[in-house]
Amino acid sequence: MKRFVRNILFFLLLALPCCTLLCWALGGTGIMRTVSYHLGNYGHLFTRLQEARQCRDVDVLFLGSSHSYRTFDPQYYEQQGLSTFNLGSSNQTPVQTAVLLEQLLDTLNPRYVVFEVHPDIMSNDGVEGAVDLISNTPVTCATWRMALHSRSSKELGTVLYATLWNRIRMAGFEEDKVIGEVSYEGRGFCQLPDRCYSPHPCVSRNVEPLPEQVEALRKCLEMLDERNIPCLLVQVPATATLTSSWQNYGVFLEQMTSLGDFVALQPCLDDSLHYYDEDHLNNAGVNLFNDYFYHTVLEAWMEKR
Amino acid sequence: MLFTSLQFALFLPVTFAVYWLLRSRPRLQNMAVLVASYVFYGWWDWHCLLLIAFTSLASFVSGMAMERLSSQRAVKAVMWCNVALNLGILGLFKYYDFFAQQFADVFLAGQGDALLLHLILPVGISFYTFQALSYTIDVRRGTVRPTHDIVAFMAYVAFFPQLVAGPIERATNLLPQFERQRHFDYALAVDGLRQMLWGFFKKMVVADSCALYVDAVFGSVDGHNSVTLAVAALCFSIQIYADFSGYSNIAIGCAKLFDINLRRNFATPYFSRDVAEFWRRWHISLTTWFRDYLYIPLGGSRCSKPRVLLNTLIIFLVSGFWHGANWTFICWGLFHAVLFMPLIMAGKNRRYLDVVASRDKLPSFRELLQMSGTFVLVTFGWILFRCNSIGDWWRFMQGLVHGGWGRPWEGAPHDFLIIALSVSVMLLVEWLNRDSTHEFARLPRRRWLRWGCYIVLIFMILALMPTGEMPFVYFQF
Repeated sequence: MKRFVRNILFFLLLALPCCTLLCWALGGTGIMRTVSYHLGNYGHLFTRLQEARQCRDVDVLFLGSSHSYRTFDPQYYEQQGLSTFNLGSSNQTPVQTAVLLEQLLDTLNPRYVVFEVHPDIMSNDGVEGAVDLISNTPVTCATWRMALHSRSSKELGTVLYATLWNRIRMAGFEEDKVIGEVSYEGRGFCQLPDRCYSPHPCVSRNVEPLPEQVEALRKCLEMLDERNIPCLLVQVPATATLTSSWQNYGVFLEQMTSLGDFVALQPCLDDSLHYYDEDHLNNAGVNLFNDYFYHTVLEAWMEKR
Repeated sequence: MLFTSLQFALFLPVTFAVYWLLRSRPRLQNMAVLVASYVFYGWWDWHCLLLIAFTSLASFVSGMAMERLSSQRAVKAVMWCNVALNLGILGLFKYYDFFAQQFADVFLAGQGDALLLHLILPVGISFYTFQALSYTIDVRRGTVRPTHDIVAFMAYVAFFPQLVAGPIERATNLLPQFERQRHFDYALAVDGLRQMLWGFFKKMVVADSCALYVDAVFGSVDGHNSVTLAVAALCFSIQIYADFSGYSNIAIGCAKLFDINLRRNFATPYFSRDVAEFWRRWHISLTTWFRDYLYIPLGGSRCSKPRVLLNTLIIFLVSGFWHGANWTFICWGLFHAVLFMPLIMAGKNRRYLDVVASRDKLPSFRELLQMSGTFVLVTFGWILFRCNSIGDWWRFMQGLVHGGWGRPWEGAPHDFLIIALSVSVMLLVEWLNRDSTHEFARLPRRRWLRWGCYIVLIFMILALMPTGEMPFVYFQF
């Protein structure tokens, strides 16, 4: 038995560095399914985080997924006399938002937070958002905790690879301002090309929030509460075809309402005029929405809080 | 608890440590196995524990009763009661809704929703029920003496490595191992770990990679071209083998860590030269179970040719139905019976009892053709097995014939490369080990080469496994 245990330990001591070395060598080639490392992605998270680290004391901080960073336009709010920053990223679920808040909340030090919540994102396992975050931010204990907690092999593989490579890869890296069709406009906001969506039926799906996402959202709200930062939960508009495909949408609305100040906004927007795709606004929609949101919701809410 | 889960990675070392700390006390070791097995099984749904405990107790009591009764009639009655009870439970959970639905379709014009029970099928019920049945029947036959040790018996029924998907063990093999003193055997444990590693590779790399493609195509069979459907059928053929034999490898290897030897369940079946040989090498524990407890009592091969053919037909139909309450499984059994019967009629069903190309490194051209032909026939059968209904199967076959040419691969090129690479590794290793005790038994003698192989396999598993939890195919049975 002693020999068995000794040999197992000896083998593990040999296998661990060998596997790590192979991961270091092959992780960036795309061969490994469990490593999804993309430094500089269409969500512009790398540039956004670089800018966020330089930004101090904003009036309003926007959090959420692509629905946030493609919707809340800081230029519009600047015209209203508010300094804002958009800290959303692609498929960013509350689990990743919690990691980002741990890293950046004290730096950004916002007076108010607008937290975008989306039924599809709340019912998402968050792996895609996590690997985007891991690839584009220096690996910290919080990132490792997130990956270990998720138990996803993809997150674990990517965080291991990022730990080995991030310092080297990020040094001197500059992300393009335009990736694919998406252009980075500054202060976290990304603009989509001017295009209109042709409505088509969406596959019906269950959007009951996952317990781990609700738990992470609670954690974010507690973090903000400890610093006395008021937070407004907002669901940005989605096309009528998408909204009608959500099963258990009522459960989502109920759960969000129970967590704090919550608004689900459905201003008079047209599926074929104001949307880029089924759940992202185009530029016309963004302009209309921000105006509507600021005047009917945000202004009054900030005054109240 | 899945073998491929992180929970199992913690559960196994803890169980191993506790078990060998109690090495001087076999009864306590059995208790540890029993507790571990119930934790392992209860991880899915603890309610199912009641069922397995009841099945075990009923069979244990039957064994004791048969020992005490002097009249052969009474012994027989007890055995039949126990058989009826076990099959009744299995029937209720697995087959009741199927028969109720058929009844409703025929007599109530499909309006029979009130008849359906919609019971959850407990994981592995078909496996442990058969294991418990074999004990009762063997006691009646006198091939095993009834045990008086209830803990050993319950550990025999619920032994966690093989509880949910076999190999289906016999009391004659497994029960005595729980009744004897066990000793840690270094060589056996190392061989067990090696076999587990091979099982994990087959399941997590080969089977799960194929599953991504298979699920996408079989999930909606319409609109695919013939080539895509053929590739999907081929992938399923590989998936089901890698998945199920991978599970068996893990189970058998895991048992070896506890100084328990389980029966072999697969012996490189895709290197078979005809269907009869395939059935001697595929799911051996189930095939031999049906042979010993159904085929031979029906008369086996020692009766007239028509009777032998009828017995064969019965065996295959029952075997198909054992897999699930669906016409697809029954037709799959029928399909194999149709392939098997000509071999019986020609007296060629026991032509290939040895390993293919046993004295050569490579098969002859004739053997290659035979193996390919058998593989294609078996793959046609798997289409029936995988389709959700006969209607789906019919559409699949229409697509296969009339779907026309097109892109052979609808998935990502990267996925195709992973499948091609991993299947090549699997076939090569299994070909080299086709006459060994298991498919990963023969490795280089030099330690650094052997360990190098292990590290490469571990890295392939860690790097190429698809993300997300993928249960074993045979869990549904």
